[in-house]
Order: sequence, then C-alpha cells, then structure tokens
Amino acid sequence: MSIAIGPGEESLGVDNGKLGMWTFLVMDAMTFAGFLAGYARLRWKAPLDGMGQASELVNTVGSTVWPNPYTTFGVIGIQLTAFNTFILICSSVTMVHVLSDVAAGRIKRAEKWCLATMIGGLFFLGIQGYEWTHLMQVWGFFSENAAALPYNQNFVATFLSLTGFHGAHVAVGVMFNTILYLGLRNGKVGKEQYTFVEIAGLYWHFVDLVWILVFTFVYLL
Amino acid sequence: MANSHEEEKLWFGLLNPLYMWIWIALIVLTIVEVIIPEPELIGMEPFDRTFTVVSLIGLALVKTVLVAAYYMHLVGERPAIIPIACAPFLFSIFLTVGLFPYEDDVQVPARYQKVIKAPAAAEGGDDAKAKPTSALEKKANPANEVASLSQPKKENDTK
Amino acid sequence: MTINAPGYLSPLTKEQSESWFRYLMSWFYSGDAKRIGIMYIIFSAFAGFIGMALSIMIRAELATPGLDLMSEEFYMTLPGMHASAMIFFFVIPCYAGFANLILPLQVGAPDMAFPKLNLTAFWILPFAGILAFSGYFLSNAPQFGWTGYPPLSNSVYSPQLGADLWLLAIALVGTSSTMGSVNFLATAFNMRCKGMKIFQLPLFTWSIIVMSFLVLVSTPVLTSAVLMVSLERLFPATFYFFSPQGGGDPILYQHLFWFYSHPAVYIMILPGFGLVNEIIPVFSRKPIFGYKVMVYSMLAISILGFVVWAHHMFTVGIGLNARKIFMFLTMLIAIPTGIKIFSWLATIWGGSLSFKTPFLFSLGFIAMFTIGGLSGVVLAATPVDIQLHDTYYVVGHIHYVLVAGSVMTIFAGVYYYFPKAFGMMLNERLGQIHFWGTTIFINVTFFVQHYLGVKGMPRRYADYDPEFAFLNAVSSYGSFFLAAFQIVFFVNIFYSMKNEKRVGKNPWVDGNTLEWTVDSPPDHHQFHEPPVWTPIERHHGPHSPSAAE
Ligand SMILES: [Cu+2]
Repeated sequence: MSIAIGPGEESLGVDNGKLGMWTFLVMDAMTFAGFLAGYARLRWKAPLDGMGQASELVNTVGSTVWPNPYTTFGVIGIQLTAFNTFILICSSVTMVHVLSDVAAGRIKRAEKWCLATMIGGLFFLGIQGYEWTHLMQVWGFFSENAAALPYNQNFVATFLSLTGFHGAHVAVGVMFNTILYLGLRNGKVGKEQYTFVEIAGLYWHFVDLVWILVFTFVYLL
Repeated sequence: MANSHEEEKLWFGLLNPLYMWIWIALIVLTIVEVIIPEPELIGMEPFDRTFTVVSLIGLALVKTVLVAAYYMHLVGERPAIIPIACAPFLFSIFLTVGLFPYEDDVQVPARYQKVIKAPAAAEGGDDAKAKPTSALEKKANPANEVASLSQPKKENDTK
Repeated sequence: MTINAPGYLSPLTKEQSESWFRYLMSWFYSGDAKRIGIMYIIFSAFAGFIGMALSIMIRAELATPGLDLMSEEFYMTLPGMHASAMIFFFVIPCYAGFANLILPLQVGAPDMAFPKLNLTAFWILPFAGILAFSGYFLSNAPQFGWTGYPPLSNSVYSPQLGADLWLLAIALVGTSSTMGSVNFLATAFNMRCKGMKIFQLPLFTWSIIVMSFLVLVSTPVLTSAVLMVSLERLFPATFYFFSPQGGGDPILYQHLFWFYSHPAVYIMILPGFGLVNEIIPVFSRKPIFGYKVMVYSMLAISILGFVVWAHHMFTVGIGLNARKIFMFLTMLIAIPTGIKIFSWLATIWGGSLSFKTPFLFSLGFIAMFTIGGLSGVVLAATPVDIQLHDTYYVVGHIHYVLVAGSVMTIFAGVYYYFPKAFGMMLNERLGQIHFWGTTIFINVTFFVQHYLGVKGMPRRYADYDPEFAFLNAVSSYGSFFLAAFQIVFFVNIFYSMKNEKRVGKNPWVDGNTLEWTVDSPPDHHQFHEPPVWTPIERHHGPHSPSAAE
C-alpha cells in the first residue's frame, strides 16, 4: 500500500498539508467565533460600567454590571496582559524566522528561533496561569463564592471560556513547536520539510491572531 | 515572502526588514490599543465610549490582517487559499449580526393596542436605562418561568 | 481456510488471508478510503437500526391515546435519542461513507489526502455513539430532546449523567465530521487527476465539497455551544452562559445551536442531491441538465443556509424586523432548491428511461422531497410558523425532508454503488419491492402528521387528545410497515451476496465518471496508471450511445 499521496495534476498549487491546515483553521476560527459571538450578545445585554467604575447598577435581567477586568480584578491589570500580548507577538515573529531559516537551510539558527518561540508560548501560558490562580484564590472563581460576586456572572463564564480555550490552543501550539524543535535537533526536519514548518507556523500565527481579537474584546473593550 | 538570501551574515536575521517592520507595527498598535481605554496612562482625557469601541475593533482588525497577510504569508499565497482564509470572517459576521438581541420595534396600530396592552401591563414599567426588549424575552428572564416554558413535561399535566 | 475476495476487499498479506481476525484487523487499521467508506456505511446502518427501533417505540406509544407502554420519563428520552441517532450517527456518517468510497475515485486520486486522519475520524464515531447512548444503560438518558435547550438541559433540570455524556458525544461527532471534511476538501481540491478542472468535477464531488464547507463553518459553532452547556453543567456556580439564574441568556444557545442545525439540514441533504445528480443522467441516458447551474445553486444554498437559522426561533421573541428578514431569506432558499428540482426534471424529460431501483428511488426522492420543501416554505412564513411551531406539522415536514429526502437518496446510492463497492448486483425484483414498500409507507406514516399538526397536536408528548387517535393510529401502523419493509433490503443484500452476480467495470452501462472506468470492486490502488479525464462537453442534446439500442 505504498502509494504516493500528494497533490494531483490539477491541484491548487499548494501542498495537501497546507490546504488541510487552512481548512482546519477555518473550523477553529468558527469555534472561536461561536464563543466570541456569545460573548458579544451577553455583553451587549449587560449594562455598561462607565469607565471601569464598579457600580451597583442592576439591570432588568437581574444581572449586575459588566466588570472591567483590568480595574476590577486587580492583578489582571491591563499592563500585565498587554505584556503578555507583547510576548505572543514576539513569539510569532520568532516563528517566521524559523520558517525563513529553514527555507534557507540554516537549521541551527532555525532551532534557536524555535526554542525562543516555545519559551514565548510557555511564558504566555505562565502569565495566564497566574491570572487564573489569582482569580480562583482571591476572587473565588470556580467556587461557590463566584456566584456572590457583585458583578455580572456572564463575565466570569465568558472570560474563563475564551481565555481558557485560547490557552488550550497555545498549549497545543507549544507541543507542536516542541515536535518541530526536536525534529530540527535530530535532523528529521530539514529544508525538504519546509511545508511542515510552514504548517506549524500557520497554526502558531493563528493562535496569535485569535489572541489579538480576544485581548481586544475581553480585556480592552 | 521575504527573500532571506542577503541577510545571511546579519545576526540571526533579526534585521530581516519585512518581518521586523510588521513586528514593530504590531507592537506600536498594541501600545495604542492599551492607551485608548486608559488614556490616563499618558495623562490624557478619557475618550468617548463610541470612539473607544470603534477604534479598538478597527485596530484589532488591522493587526489581524497584518498577521494573516505577512506572517501567515497570505500576500504571496495562491489565490485559492485567500477565500478559504477569509470565509470565517464572513460567516462569523453573519453569526454575530444574526444573534444580536434585536429590539422589537413594532409600531402597533391604535386599533390593536387594546388587545396587545393587556398582557404587557403585567410586566410593569422598567427604569429608563433598560433597553426595551420584546415581551417574550422579558418574560423569559425569571428563572422558574423559563423552566416551565421549556419543560413540556410539566405543562402536560395541566391539560 | 482462505479468504478470497476481489479488488480492495482482498487480504493484503498471506496471514490476513488465513485468519478472519487478521483480515478484520486489516480493515480496522486500514487507511484505504474505500474500506473506511464501507466501515462508515456499516456503522451508520447499525445506528440507523437503533434510531429506527427508537422511532418504533415512539410510534408504538402514540398508536393509541393514553400512556400504555412506557413511563413519561422514558418517553421523554425517545425523541431526542431517535433524532441524535438518525442525524449524527446515521445520515451524516452514511454520506461520509459514500464520499470516502466514491470521491477519490471520481477525482482520479489514489486515496484520500490524509488517510490516517480519515481513519481517526471514523473511529471517533463508534466511541461517540457508545457515549451518546450509554445513558440508557446508566438508566438516565437525557430527556431534553436533540436540541438540548438550556435551561432544561442544565444541571438543575437535567442532572442525569447521561446528558453529560451525550453532550460530550455531540462534541466528538462534530470533531469527527470536521476531520472528515478537511479530508474531503483537500482531496477534491488538491488531488484531481489530469484534466479534472474544477468545473469538470462530477456533481457528487461538488456536493461533497459544499457539504464539507458547511460542516467546517457550522459544526464548530455547535461545538462551542455544547462546550458552554457542558461548562455550565460541570461548574454550576462559575459558568452562567444560558441559565437565567446567573443573568445568562437561553436564547443565545438557540442562536448558536440553530446556526449549526439549519446548515445541518443541508449537510444531510446535499450529498443526497449529489447522488441523485449521478443517478438521474445515467438512467435517463442524457447528460445532466444545467451542470453549472446545479453547482451554483448548491453554492447559493450553502451561503443562504447560514443566514436563515432564526426561522426556528420565530416564537422566542426576537424582533419583528429580524423575523421578517429571516423569513424572506428562508423563502429565498426555495429558489436554488427549485432550480435543482427542475433541472432533474429537465434531465429526465426526453430521456430514454430505464426504471432500475436506483432510478426509482431517485424519482421517489424528487416527488416526496418536493412536498417536504413546500411545507418548509409554509413553515418559513412567520405568522404561519407561530401557529405551527412545535406541532406535528414540523415533524411531518422534517421527515419528508430527511426520510423522503436523505434516506431515499441513501438507498438510491446503495443500490447504485453496490456493484461498484462489492462487484455484484443487488437483486432488482427485491429492490423494487423495497422501493414501493418504502415509498408508500413513508407517505402513510408522515403525510397525516401535517394534518395532525394543523389541528394542533404538539410534538414530543407521550400522550394526546383522543380526537387525534385515528390519524395517529394510521401514522403508527404506517411506521411499522415502513420498518418491516426495510427487512426486504437486508434480505436483498444477503440474497445477492449469496447468488453472486459478478459485474464488469460499468454495470449500469451509461456511467461515464471515473469510478466506472476501474474494476468493480476497485483494486487497492484503484487506478493502475494515473487516470486522465477527458473534459466532457455537457450539453442538452442527443442521448448516450446505449440509448440508441
Ligand atoms: Cu432551518
């Protein structure tokens, strides 16, 4: 059963794997779209909090105001998360360097860039883990106390689900990059496996791209 | 895609011009994004809410397009990939626009108002800040009423 | 003992030909799209059997007024589990099976683009199926229907473990079908043989492309909704998306759910359209009428299908203007669908017809699907829908679309491709008996439901007003006979397998796509040398060569 499976004569001119990754990303993007659209609707129905002032305003739904994550919950200050965004953007730029170095055959250099990308991803996860533990310990998310917060409960749900789902994607991306890194080290990934690197890159940049949207909608707006 | 042959000698290709310019642009945009909701950071007056929302979404989209176009190499990609990449944007807009909580802005003709008023009166007036929602949506809010609405089993024995 | 089978059914090694266990294992680990396709279809037949058994229980309970066979609690599980068996484990996997079997052959590819992904996508399904139905063995299957609307489906009103497992299963099925879709798209776009330009693709392949696109865009939204419900159930004090106690919004779930489930209707019918598109020209011995229009109407259906979902929610209190827009867009879908119906009729018109079983099923499909489509237009009208919402009219409509639509095309496809898949014909006489029994009793079962609905009989209840007794009895006995006639189908398969009637490459004589140029059953590699597709000029002119006889 050793048949060569690859693009046929009338292909779109891209590798199968790349086309597969792009179509997978369509699917993944729509999953985030489901969460983000749900967030948009819940958020729209909640009353506004002015400029981050905690207010006791209660709307007709019976829910309280939408909290402003960076002023309300202390540690997830906007600076920390902005720094996290910065790290993810940096790890995105290191990832393109992996690709351009692999394309040029400079595997040693690509290996270092790949390591930097992994560290960036882990750093991001670390900061997010810190945020989550803070929210759980100080504000009692995931415990009975969460229901007693004087803020809109939908914030807790949408915040945790969006950042959690994104964090899971980062974790998968880190694993993907680890495989790539080991491949580069063991010489399994060379110039010929350019497409594999490109696919790993596509996934990683997509995670970055989604974070740009999540950061804007969840933290900044 | 950036040609990487010239900067062979440069340190780790850090000066690869296109990627680094995009990187700088992303970082600058992020800084702008952080300042818009909290202009106090650089001693400015708070912005209007509408301006904040529109500009933040605009900036986020610009960043998204930059990442997709240059880091995911859409600019140099085969034309067939581009519609695939754009599809989720289109359909997530369909989704978001479609599930927006539209208000029921019906103008009830005067001769029907008596009929419609009767159930609506039970709900009482809400404070001015609350957005008018449709009668059913309002009714759906208290927990136990929803339970009975969507639990046919319970309704069954009243027959 | 040796296992002898032709083509891709043959054992690959000597050990496999000597032991049934090894032979079976070689199927289970196979990356061959044809084998995976057959496994999909067999799995879906099992699921279809379970779904049918559940529906027989529903109809048995409803045959007479009053609660006579089961408790209300048990009855409440039936509609939802019947729907999930039929939708998620029967129709969608069955079409995935046809796509695996036929699509690589039609585009001239040696296999699917990602064989391992393909196998993974298949093997997720049995586990998801076990999860979804394990509620019955834990004696607490979910009672909230296949829609799973919160707050009914949250941990307060549905504390059953079976409900959690069901939600997990739905997420898994979604994953499986998106994996399949990634594969179909990559194969259809990227692995076409020489000459197979995008507008030369056979219409079945086109329908799979459109279906995969629908799956890719809509299924993840259901997954997100299901994840939200699961989070709400698992961490009730933290996550409030939909539950009004925490200021959540139950209607949000309905939006997300129907954003998937309306396109899901097209996911469940477009491959059927594709199969009919293949069958009708062959048995009319004429090229398909309006090839490009067929493609464009499928694309139009797929785009429009994403902007109509709120027609399932006309009674939940969304704004009137929004309802008007959704009503208009829903009615718009009748146009591309009508184009397809009329193109099939135009293909049949003036052809020299050969009334073999696949063609009969296709004709039955066209006739009855039109009824389902028209009652859909009726339901799309907001004022009418407010009256008919959650009545048996909706049940009648959906069954005319899914039984008279999807199931009829599945049978048409099975009769049509059975010679290709196994190298032997199905018995024609038994096939015709099966066709007439199925067609007549579909109408007996479901047509009266329209009338019941208009008279106001609500769906999903275990009991009803004795006024409806007669028509319910008609519907119930119709469904028993409908189920009984499916036995003919299985008898046919075993009978035909026993009296092997071997066929050549092109048993239907007029098949002109690439799958009819290879052996029946195809070899492991399917094409011995890279195929070349001679672009065909699709015209409305003279008949195929064999029609002149
Ligand atoms: Cu629909």
